[in-house]
Amino acid sequence: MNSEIKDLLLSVDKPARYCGGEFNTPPIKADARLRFLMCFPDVYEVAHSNLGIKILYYMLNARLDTACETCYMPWVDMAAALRERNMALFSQETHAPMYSFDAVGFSLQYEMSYTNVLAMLDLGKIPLFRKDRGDGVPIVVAGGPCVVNPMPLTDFVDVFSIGDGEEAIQALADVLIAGKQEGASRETMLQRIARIDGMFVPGISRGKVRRAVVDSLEPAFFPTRVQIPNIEAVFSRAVLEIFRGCTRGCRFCQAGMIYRPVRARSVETLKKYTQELIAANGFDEITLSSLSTCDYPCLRELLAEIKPLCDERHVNISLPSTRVDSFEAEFVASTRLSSLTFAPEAGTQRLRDVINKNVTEEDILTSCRYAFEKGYHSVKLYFMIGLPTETDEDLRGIADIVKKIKYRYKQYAVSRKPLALVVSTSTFVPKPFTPFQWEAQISLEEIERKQNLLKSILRPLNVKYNYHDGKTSRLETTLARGDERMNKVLYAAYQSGCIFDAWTEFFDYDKWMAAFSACGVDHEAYCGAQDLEAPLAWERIETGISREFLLRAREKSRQGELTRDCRKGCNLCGIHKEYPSAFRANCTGGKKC
Amino acid sequence: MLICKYTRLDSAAFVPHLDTLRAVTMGIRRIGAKAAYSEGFNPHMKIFFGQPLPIGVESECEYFCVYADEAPEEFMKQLNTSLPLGLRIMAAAKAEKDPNVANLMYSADYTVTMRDKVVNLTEILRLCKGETCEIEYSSKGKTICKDVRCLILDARAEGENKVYLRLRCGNENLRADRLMAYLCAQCDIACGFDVRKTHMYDCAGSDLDKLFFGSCR
Repeated sequence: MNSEIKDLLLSVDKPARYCGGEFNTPPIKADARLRFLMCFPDVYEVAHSNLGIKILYYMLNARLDTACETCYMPWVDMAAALRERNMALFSQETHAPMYSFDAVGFSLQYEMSYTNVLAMLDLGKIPLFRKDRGDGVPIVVAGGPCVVNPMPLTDFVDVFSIGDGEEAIQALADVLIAGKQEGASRETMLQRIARIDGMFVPGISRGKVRRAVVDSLEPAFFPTRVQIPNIEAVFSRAVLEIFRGCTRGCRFCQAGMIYRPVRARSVETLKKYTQELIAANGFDEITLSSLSTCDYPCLRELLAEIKPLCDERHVNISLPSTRVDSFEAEFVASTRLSSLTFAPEAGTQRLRDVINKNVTEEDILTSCRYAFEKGYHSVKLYFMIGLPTETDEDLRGIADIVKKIKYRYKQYAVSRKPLALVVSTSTFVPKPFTPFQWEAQISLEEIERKQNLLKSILRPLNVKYNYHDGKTSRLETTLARGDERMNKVLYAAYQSGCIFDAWTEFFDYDKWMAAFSACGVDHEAYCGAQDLEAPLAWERIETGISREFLLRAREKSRQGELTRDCRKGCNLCGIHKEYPSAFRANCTGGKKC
Repeated sequence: MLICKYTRLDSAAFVPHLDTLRAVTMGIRRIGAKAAYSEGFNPHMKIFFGQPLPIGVESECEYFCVYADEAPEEFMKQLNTSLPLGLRIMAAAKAEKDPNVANLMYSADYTVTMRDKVVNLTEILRLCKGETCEIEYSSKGKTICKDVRCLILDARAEGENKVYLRLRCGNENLRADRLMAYLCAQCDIACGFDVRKTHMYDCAGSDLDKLFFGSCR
């Protein structure tokens, strides 16, 4: 490490975020034909909890011709120190400046990280606007769930990689290497990239751009050897992705729509990955990751296979406990007693039917009973406020559930400790490509009124109540449903000092409002109800979920009608037409174990 | 039980103490060594470390003790394939009981390498060896003024860029980087320096290596 970097690190808080040297870092090839920088627009500890960038990082480094390094959003003190010393933001592995790479990729997991993308480009000495980038400047790529609506960032990002990245990243690397070797211009390279499945290149792509979907996860790359962060990550555990997608069809859930169809790994493969994850990483916990783990058809078989492996090495299995039946309660209790978490999302059955959340009060209470009988004494409940058609009656329903859980505890608890019950609410954010994509978000005043109402209802019940800041939710909606006009707003907000918007200590709503008004953009319009007839900004992207299906599901929500789980029969969401091979491989008849 | 000596060099010097402990624990877990775990709700590997090093200071002589039923040489060999950059096991031996390194350490040797030639290194030594040596530093937002003369056991210079210090450590600790930063500022030396801890001793002046391994490693 050179003394310039050393002195820089000694001047900032938590220098271990930037020094590199993480265990399991693959060799970085000095003679690589392609140098790629994988970036995450949030701090080190958050970035290291993300699976997506790990998959792509190890895939690229597995190629003989490519060197991939990583870079994370520096904390404010580091950003200031870099500027003060006129140093460019650099990679973790070789401390090379961002501008020296061939391509720079960002993972966009949440809208509130957008200004951090601008900050990282700026600190990395890459021109912010793509129109200002010439030959020799890295090509800026963005992927992750947020890019299903790429419109708010089209001025800053050269290439959006929509959908699954496993095949797209290989094709991208091939094109970049070939182009570099030929001395192709930036324009030529971008034109070639636009031909890759799932790549949206602003200014070049014509017509709709289709999301990339891998037909099966079985042959797909999965990183079982991952970088171990120097300081503990927010989620410090081995991640085993058991399947991608979800069959439930909750109407507010974007992930449940944009990752369709469900693609599962086999028990055999997962067992092999578990062995490798334990041997290569040293975590004391492994989490079975997916959108709805209890829906994995072979969960019992999987647990039976991996539990002895984990026990032998003192590794705890963490299992999301949304639908705990007796078997899982027993299983979880035999490992570590932590708290039980449920996400009923709405307080009454009527509203749960509106949002197609197939969880009944009885499910929750039965699960609680099992858990309390096993010694649990802590329950966390997650709800949303501001869902379409919600009334105060639905909010009171939350208190009813709380009362019933308390009563169950009185009846069945074996623990002598008092019940610790936490209720958390977030505000409903209408997201693109969901049946609720046209819905209005409740106003800031209404958010606060509902939160206050809940506070007053829950206070006498002696439960802890947490809630999300309404202003953040309003902005999240604006950015999630934003069109191209959002580019100038983002730029103005960044110029006025907005960064780390996902961090409450930095989020400055007033600065954002000033940016909207300076750009002449009415942010309220993005939060209001959207015209059912008019085309939507994000419909430039084809996710495979048809507009008709979404409209149909929306209509059903108004009638309180449920859409069945995909495993019980196809609901004709559109995947069968757009991705017939993925549909045939995964959706026909439902997988049985 | 095993007592191990390890280095904390290069990027590992920027990793905080508890995360270093975590890195070693994960390394032991990776190699599948038979380590003992605490009982109870949240079992932890039974492993004990010496006192923390300041961030940015390298060391060739840190120690930890782990309840593991393994052959020391093999354990060392295996673990060295499983540690992050800068952490390396230099010696391992069986021990009857935890020697409590944190309590045992009394003094330590440091090599300070100036980043440029310094003509007035002797001036630094003069300040160290006076009757008093009052230094000023800031800690937790407060400016602290303290006479540290009794914590400086020895100070020597070699050539124009090396300073060797023997300072108290453990319960009465003087940070070498803090002392040097103050002295350099006093002597208008602006080239910067790097600090590396090289040996640790008990209160009788015995090298901890000799106590644990019979000879210096």
